[in-house]
Amino acid sequence: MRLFHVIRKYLLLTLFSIMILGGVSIYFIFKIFIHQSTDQILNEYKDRIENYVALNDTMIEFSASVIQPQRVEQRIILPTDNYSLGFRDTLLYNENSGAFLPYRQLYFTVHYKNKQHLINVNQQTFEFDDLLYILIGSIIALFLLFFIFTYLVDYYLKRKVWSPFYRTLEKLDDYDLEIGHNLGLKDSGIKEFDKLNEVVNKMVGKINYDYENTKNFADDISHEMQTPLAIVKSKLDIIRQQDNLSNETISSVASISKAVSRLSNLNRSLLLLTKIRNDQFHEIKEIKLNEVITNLVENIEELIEARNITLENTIREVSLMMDSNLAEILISNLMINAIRHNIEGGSIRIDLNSAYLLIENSCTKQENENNLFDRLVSNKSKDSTGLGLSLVKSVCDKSGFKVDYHFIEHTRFQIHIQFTKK
Amino acid sequence: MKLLLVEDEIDLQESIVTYLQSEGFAIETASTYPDGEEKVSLYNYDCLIIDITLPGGTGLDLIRLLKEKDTDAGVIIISAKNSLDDKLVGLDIGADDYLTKPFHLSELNARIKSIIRRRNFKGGNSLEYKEITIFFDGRKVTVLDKELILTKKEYDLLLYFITNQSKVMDKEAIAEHLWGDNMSLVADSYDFIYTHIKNLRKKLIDAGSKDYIHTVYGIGYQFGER
Repeated sequence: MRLFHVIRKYLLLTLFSIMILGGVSIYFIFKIFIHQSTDQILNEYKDRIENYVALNDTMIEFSASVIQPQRVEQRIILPTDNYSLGFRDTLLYNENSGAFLPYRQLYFTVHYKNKQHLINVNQQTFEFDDLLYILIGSIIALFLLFFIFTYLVDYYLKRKVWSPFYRTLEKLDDYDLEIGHNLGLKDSGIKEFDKLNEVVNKMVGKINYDYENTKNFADDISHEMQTPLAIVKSKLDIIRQQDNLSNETISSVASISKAVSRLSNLNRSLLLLTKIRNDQFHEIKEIKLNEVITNLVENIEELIEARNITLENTIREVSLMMDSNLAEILISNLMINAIRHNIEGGSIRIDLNSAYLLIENSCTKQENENNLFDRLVSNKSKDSTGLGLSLVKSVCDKSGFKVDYHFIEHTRFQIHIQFTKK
Repeated sequence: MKLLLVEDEIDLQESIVTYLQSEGFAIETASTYPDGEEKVSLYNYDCLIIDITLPGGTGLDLIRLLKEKDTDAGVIIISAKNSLDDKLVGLDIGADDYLTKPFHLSELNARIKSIIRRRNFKGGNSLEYKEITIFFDGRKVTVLDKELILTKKEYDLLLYFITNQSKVMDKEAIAEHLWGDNMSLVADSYDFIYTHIKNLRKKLIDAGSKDYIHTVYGIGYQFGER
């Protein structure tokens, strides 16, 4: 529900309650007020009649100079009669308008010549029913008007008030950590949004700064590690050139060399993983994945043949939008995986179409078949970094693909990449 | 052939100098940017090996400086950073190649010779070793003047061997050269190298050449006269 709808709901509810209350109050206040003034007039008549009788000592029909005849009625009453005094509302037939109209009456008694006279004076009054209908009608009309008005206000607000908010949202949406621009949110004149912009600007500035530092840190670490490794490798190269090495030395040199290679490759893979996760490969182009695969397979044909692995494939022409480096990393890691964990005389199958990529290969038994994406896969023969599948997963995450794998009876490994749109 | 090496890590510098000198190159060194700047401005070289991160400046500026002179010299960048941006910039401003540390000295050697060949043909259009001749145009190989058909990998292997003749190379270096960083681990562990070398050896011997490829126990291979 939009914020405005929430506000409007409460506004309308409040308005409705206020209007009902107001309406009811107006009705009664009106009534009381009108009664008061009518009653005042009636009291005045009463006084006049009493004075007239007292003054002129007569009960005969009052002359027109006193009050209009139709407004007065009188009769003689006996003490035993039932009657009531005071103000009363009634309907009387009015000849002028030809209809029954509401009248206010005042009953009082006058003592004259030892007889009680019950007199009532009448004054036309307000049609309170009409008032009621008018009030209800007004409330409804006002309410509807207000309702319509809120739409107008909503429209106006959308342009004047909410547009800075949506501008901020849009800029946040477009924000790309890799590009690292400052959002440059400007003041809108509305305090809450200005405060929001201020906080967001600061936050983005800090994120950019931290990211730069992290990137540089990762780069610097690699630099630092690679150089000592380069020194070791180069010295080993020199040692190898010597003629009279003892067998022990030769063996040690071989071990050192292997260890340094592992370290070097591990460092390189880690760096790659970090770079991928930090979106440092973000040049999206149209990549023909089938070509990437066929090129790579061509390059490693002999590796496959040398282990007597049969390769079958159903590769369709598939174009995807992704970074070309990521495509290379993805395919090479998948293929290395398929070869390395394969058995002598095994098989590899590649299925590529516009919906998915499937690679299936025979494999040696794995100690732990779970979580291959999340951890360094321990490998007894130490011929891999163990990060291959992590790299595959990272590339898929960044390119909007879904990836999962499973083992078939512990002897076949299947990995499936779905080219979903993010 | 005169080379200039600009590298601030002294230990690495020493190894490179030793290896390349044994390859017959005359090589000068600089360890800082100002030193490098001086040498580049004053002298001429056939090929320069430049490290990007130097005290006092960046190797990229040295390359720019070099390009201002009218020279045929080749440039190979060595860097610990496998940074795509650096690579692009480097190649953009005129470097011929980019090699990431750590690398094998035999690889560096092969690349330098390749650059010199490409740049000014001072290396000639062909390379001869005894009865074997490699023609770079068309990647042809002859033994005793008769053409020998080799696969792409076998050709690369033979060229690598002859370029680094008499040097002992370990299997990893060869694997990296043939398949690149990624695949080298796989290739190395399953002795694909052995298969390729065996095939190449057989083809050469069958064509009438002597057996120049020797296995050095526990270490690797060596190409040359024993």
